[in-house]
Amino acid sequence: MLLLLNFLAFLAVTGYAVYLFVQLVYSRYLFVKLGKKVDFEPNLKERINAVLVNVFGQRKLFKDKKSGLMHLVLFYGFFIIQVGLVEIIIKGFIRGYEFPFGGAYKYFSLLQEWTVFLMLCAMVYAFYRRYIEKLKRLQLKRDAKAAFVIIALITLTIAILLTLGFEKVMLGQNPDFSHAPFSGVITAAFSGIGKAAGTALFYLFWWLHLLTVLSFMVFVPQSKQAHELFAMFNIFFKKVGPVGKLRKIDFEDDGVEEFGVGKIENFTRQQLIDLYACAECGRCTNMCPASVTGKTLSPMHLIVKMRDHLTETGASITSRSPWMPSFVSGTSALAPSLTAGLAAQETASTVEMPNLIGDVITEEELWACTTCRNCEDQCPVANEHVDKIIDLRRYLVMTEGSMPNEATRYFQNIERQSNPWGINRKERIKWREERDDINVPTVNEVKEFEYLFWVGSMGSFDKRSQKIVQSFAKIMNTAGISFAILGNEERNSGDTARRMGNEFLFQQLCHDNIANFQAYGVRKIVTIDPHAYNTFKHEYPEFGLEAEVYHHTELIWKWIQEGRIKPVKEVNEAIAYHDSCYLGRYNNIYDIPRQILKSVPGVKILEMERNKENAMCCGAGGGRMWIEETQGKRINVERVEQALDLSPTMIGSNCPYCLTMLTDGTKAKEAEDQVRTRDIAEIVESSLAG
Amino acid sequence: MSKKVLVFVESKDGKLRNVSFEALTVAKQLAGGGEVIAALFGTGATEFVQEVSQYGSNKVYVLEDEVLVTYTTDGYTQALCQVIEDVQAEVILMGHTAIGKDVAPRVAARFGAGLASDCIGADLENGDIVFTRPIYAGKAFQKKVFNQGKVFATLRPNNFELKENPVQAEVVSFQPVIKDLRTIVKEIVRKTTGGVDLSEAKVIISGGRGVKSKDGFQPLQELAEVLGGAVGASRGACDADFCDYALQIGQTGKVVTPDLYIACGISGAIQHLAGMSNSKVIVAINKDPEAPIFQVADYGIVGDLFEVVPLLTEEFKKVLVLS
Ligand SMILES: Cc1cc2nc3c(=O)[nH]c(=O)nc-3n(C[C@H](O)[C@H](O)[C@H](O)COP(=O)(O)OP(=O)(O)OC[C@H]3O[C@@H](n4cnc5c(N)ncnc54)[C@H](O)[C@@H]3O)c2cc1C
Ligand code: SF4
Ligand code: SF4
Repeated sequence: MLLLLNFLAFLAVTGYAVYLFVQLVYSRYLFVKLGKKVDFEPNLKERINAVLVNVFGQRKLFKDKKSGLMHLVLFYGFFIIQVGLVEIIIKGFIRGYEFPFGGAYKYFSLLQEWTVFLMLCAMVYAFYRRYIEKLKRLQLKRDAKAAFVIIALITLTIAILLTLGFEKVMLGQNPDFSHAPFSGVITAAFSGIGKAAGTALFYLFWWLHLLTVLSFMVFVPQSKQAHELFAMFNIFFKKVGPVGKLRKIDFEDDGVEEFGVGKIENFTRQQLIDLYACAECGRCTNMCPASVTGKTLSPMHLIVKMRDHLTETGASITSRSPWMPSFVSGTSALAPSLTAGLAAQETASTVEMPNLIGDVITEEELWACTTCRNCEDQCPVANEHVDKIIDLRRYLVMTEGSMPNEATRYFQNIERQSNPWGINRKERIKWREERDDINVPTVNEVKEFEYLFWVGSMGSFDKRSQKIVQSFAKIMNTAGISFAILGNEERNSGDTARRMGNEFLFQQLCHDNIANFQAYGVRKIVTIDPHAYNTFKHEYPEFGLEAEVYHHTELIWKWIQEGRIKPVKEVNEAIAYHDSCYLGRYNNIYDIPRQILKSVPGVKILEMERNKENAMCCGAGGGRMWIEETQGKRINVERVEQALDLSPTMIGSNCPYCLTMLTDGTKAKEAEDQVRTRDIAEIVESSLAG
Repeated sequence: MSKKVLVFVESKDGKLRNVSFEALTVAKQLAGGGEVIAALFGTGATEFVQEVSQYGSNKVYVLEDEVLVTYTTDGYTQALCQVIEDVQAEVILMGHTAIGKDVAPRVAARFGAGLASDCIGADLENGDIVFTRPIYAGKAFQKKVFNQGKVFATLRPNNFELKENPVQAEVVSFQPVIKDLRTIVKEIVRKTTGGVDLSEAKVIISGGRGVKSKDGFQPLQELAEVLGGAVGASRGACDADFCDYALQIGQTGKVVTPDLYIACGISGAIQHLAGMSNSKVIVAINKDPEAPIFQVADYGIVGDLFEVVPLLTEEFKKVLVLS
């Protein structure tokens, strides 16, 4: 009779929990579906590989080794204990039930015991990291939900061991330390209490264990733990192709009412899965140059705020309550305030929804991003922050026409003179006249050329960057390379315009440039600007560019290996080398510049603490170069301080924007007399004979 | 084909703005014999009636309302809309001033009409009003004609010849209904940038990191006073806290085009040049002969600014006393 009652109670509770769980997940599925449909490019191999590496291999998590190990235990432990959970549930109805594994059962039992124990340790460690060690990134968002996860999982693991331990007491069996080393301790400790007490305690913990599992299940979709459900799909459905490549806007499509994203539903579905996949781990914000220097932007909060906004908006559009059961969420901390109200009222139409831009995310946050991708590189669930920020900027720039004054000035200057400063476009070519030991023909002055040398606006007009292009021209002359420049026909590459959200201007420039490349039969392009390099290489092909694209460091290294150029003069410098974002995280080029520096006699390379894929941005990307930085500390100053910690004699870089930022940073630190700033091309040129 | 033309008349520091007289002159011409109505806002508006009627307005609407003493977007928009309704104006003109730029598009939008902004010409051609406005920073001109609705235009100051045309004006005292103000101006605090406004200055003496300290700006200030100019700065100088960011000239600061720009201890980074390279005459003072600023300078002085600048001040003083 008692057993039957127990069974009925089990069915009722479990049935209700499963019902809630399905409702909750289904609601979120519907919310994501509010997003725009995008064509799914199969690329199954790439996708499955991403899932294997990042889900089952947990690769990104191991950027933080301690947390990575902890998570690995929980991740695999989760699957392993599922099997054990089923067995324990059956044990509640059939006394002393064991899976019929025959002789192998001992090992199954051992595996379960150890898994549970390791998970318990992992959770205790998680508690330690969050509340005692107070790891910075885990303090970014403090709420009861994070505590609930830790408490629930610690309760669960302990309840499992207690249930198993008291089962043996109930059955009057002796502890089996060799196959149940942990629950055995409990059996041994309580063997004297008698079978009846053992039975009562067995059922007590059996229920505790069951209720913990079920509440946790219902809790998962309503919290950051939703990543357990969504992360894998997110990684699978993530857009394929070059990282950080932006989505093209089709301006021919008359159906488009707004450009960019001004309403959460105007993101694509694939972008919206990101939001629920976020585990609130804070790794992104921890590395974000804007957050680190005290700007209001924090990539984690960006995602989390949009997630909660999607839930609210979705609830209002679909009239589904996202917080359940309502007797908990109506009163507790489960639901953010607005939707808690919604759940209680069950009427959505009366509540005015906040605006995505302005109320949920401020314009200030959006303009603070340098598009450095450090956040994306860190994110274990493959979230993409940058394309969302740019979609929102697109809305501001192209639909609302709302942007910082400097941005307006920038766009106007590019439109009129095709350079950021509005200098007369006829002066673009003048840089080549300033050194008479270099020979730089235009495409009209030679019949044939192998490389088109894309000088870029910085290289053409900025006095400091001119020195880089002059050095590179000299290197090409020495190596006997046939090349030509477009001269005054060169325009701006459009990278910055695109990243500032002016897709329209970008596409105009892109079409003009491609037409120019085609007119002159360009087949190979080389540039000193990683931004132009990236957009030519990964974004222009979509608009019809067919050319090989090189960054100058790639070719310099090739020519050194081929013996065309030989760095022979000693350059006695200790160089702190700064990886630019667009060569590094966008294009994975870390070793080539270092190889080049190593081949220069006398050079000693100093590695900053944040190097290669963790390198901190100089602060110039994504249009930040053109907008005054008034909030918090200057990013370039922070980066230069990191370099100065190594006491270098020189800071080396591979990008004219970085060089400007780093130079300004050394001036701000009054270090410009002791520490010079140089591009790789300049360092190599100074080492050539003659 | 006569038209009813309304002119929004602006005052500043207790005086009517010149551009408002320009607008009245234009209004008289565009009205083609029709009525020219002037609208004066704020308490004390009545005292300007006489002045306004000198430029041919037959009717003056006076809105003596406390709320309109200081400019607020909301208040002025509501009041102007009501005047337009009451007058049944067909053409509405005002100066392309800070207030004009703010209020004109709003009011035009409320009437579902277009706006020709920053006009430098307004003529009658075959009964149509043709507005001329510069585009691409004055590299080209655009002519605009309205084909329906009310005609709204703002006029660029100092572009129209004044023509007096004294008439006897009828004064209408008008009480606007202004409600739901979202902003109330409590106090106006003026930022003192020391004398002449940077963006309007004919002479700018600018300092960079070479100035070394706050006090280092003193010689520059003196030279500016002698020449009746303003003091500007590079971002380097602002960052080093030698001066206020309000003085920053360049890519992310102010863009200036004075007749004379004297750069002292500024290296000439392109970010700085972007804000001043269109100055008529550029003089650079720098101790480093290689400094890029010399490439854009018309006159370069290689030397220590703390020696050169006081010398210049002395010399200018002498010359100016003589002349
Ligand atoms: C995003 C961004 C935006 C920027 N926006 C702007 C901007 O809007 N405006 C701007 O100005 N800069 C801007 N900059 C900064 C710009 O790159 C330069 O760092 C800055 O203009 C340098 O200022 P400076 O010439 O005063 O200092 P420096 O480059 O250090 O030059 C000081 C000069 O003073 C000379 N000097 C020193 N002592 C003396 C002396 N006793 N007598 C004579 N000469 C002397 C030196 O030879 C040197 O040439 C920006 C930079 C970035 C990254
Ligand atoms: S791209 Fe860089 S600046 Fe932008 S949010 Fe990510 S980490 Fe921050
Ligand atoms: S977006 Fe990614 S890195 Fe950032 S908090 Fe969420 S899961 Fe962590």
